[in-house]
Parts: sequence; C-alpha cells; structure tokens
Amino acid sequence: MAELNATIHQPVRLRIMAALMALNGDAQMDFSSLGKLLKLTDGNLGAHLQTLEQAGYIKIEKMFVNRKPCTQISLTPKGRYEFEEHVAALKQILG
Amino acid sequence: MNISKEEARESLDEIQSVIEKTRKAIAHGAASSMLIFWGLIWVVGYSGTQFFPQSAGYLWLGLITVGILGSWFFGMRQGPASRSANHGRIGAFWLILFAYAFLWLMLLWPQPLPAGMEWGHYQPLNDRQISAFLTTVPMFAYVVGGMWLGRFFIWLGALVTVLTLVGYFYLPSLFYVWMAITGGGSLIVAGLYIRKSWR
Repeated sequence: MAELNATIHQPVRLRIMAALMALNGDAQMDFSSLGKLLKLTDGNLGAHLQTLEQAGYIKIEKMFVNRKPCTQISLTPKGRYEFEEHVAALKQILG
Repeated sequence: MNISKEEARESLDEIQSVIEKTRKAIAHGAASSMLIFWGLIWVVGYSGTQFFPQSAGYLWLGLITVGILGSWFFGMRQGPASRSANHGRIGAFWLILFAYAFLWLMLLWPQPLPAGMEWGHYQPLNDRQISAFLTTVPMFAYVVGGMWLGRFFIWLGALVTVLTLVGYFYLPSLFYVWMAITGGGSLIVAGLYIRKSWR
C-alpha cells in the first residue's frame, strides 16, 4: 500500500516534482526556467531544491551553456519512484 | 501522515495542472515560431505553384531546404529546458515522418505494367494529389501530437485537413492559391495565437 511522502507533499516541492515529472525520462530543466514556470523566487526555489536533493529525489548539475553558468535539475530514479508512490497514495485516499 | 479527501484531491489537481503547464511551456518553446515560419513557406510555395507551375519543383526544393534549416535554427533557439527535454526527438520525429511519407508515395506510385494488362494505363499521381498528401501528413502529426500537447493542435490539424480536402475536391483549379490562403494562413494565425495566449 502506497504511503504519503511528507517531503514531497509540501506544496512548493509538490509542484517542483510535478514539473520535473513532466519531462521525458532523465531530461533536465534549468534553474531559471523552473523558477519562471512555477513563479518562484530564486531563494525560495533554491531552498526547496536543496531539500529535495538531500532526500535524493533530484540531481542538481552545474554546467556552462554558451559560456554562461547554468544549473540543471532532473529527477533521480528514486525521486520518480517516490513521487509515483505519493500520487498513488493520494489516489487511494480518494478511493 | 494523514490528509483529508479534499486535500488529496487538491494535490492531485495541482500535480495535473503543473504537468500540463510544463508540457505546454516546452511545446511552446518553438511551436509558435515554427508555425508562423512554415505558414509563410506554404503561402509562398502554394502561391508560386498556382501562378508559376513550371517552376514549382525548384521553388519547393528551395523552400523545403530553407524550412529544414529554419526549423533547425528555431530548435536551437529553444530554452535549455525544452532542448534537454526533447533531446532532438522532435526533429527526428519530423524527419522520420516525412521519410515514411515519401516511402509511401513511392510505394503507391502507379507503375506502368506490360501492355495488355488492364491497370497498366494508370497515370502517375498528379501534382494536386501529391500536394494534398504531403500537406495532410504534418496535419496527421498535429492531431496525434495534440493528444499529449493539448486539444489546440488536434483542432488545428483537423481544420487544415478539412480545408485541404475542400480545396482538393471542390476548387481543383484554385487548389494551390486556396492552400496558400487557408493552409498557410491557418498556420500563421495558430502561431500568433500560441504566442499571445501561452506566454
């Protein structure tokens, strides 16, 4: 039986995880695109990403794109699994 | 951790909403520019075919080359999110789709058979048939892709397909100029609509 995940259930982190789930496979989304999409400030987004990274749900990679620094975020297999479990638990509550 | 049914429903709705928003944002990355760009190519190509039919082959060869290069350019201009999400799959999809379209065209092309055989008198497909076929191939892709990207693309694909068939069956002498106005025009209007409404 699936269980709710308190880390993921926090509203902002739920939206971050949902946005990353919408990507194909192991695709990444850059920090600024994610912030713009979810209408989050850099500070707020950064703090929640750190929590998700510590839980092992996302992977954060810093790289250079066209000589500009760029932070890329993607879901880990563990993150994908936990999110799917969380969604299953939510559906179970609804019956 | 316990939550109410209402909260669970709200969370699921929020998840669905964010997933749809993300997919639309990715699709939007280059869709509007591509639609306007290909709409202009259709307007020029079909108008040229109507008024200068002898040069149509060279015209379309040039326009398709420009179209492929332009599509590659717009693809490269997409945000890192979109680029990484698709890994060039969209470009590969269109190349594969048209490779198959040309394969089907070759397979369906009537071949003259040895004299005396009844269906040896079939003529090759005419230009209008080929144009209608190659116009509806990308529209088929829009209709199918719309199942994931949103109903907008389903309606656009269906609309241009219907307009193509109307022109093909009822306006044969004006088919190309009809396609320039309605087909090219639909793509341009759709691109402008996406640009305005999805930002």
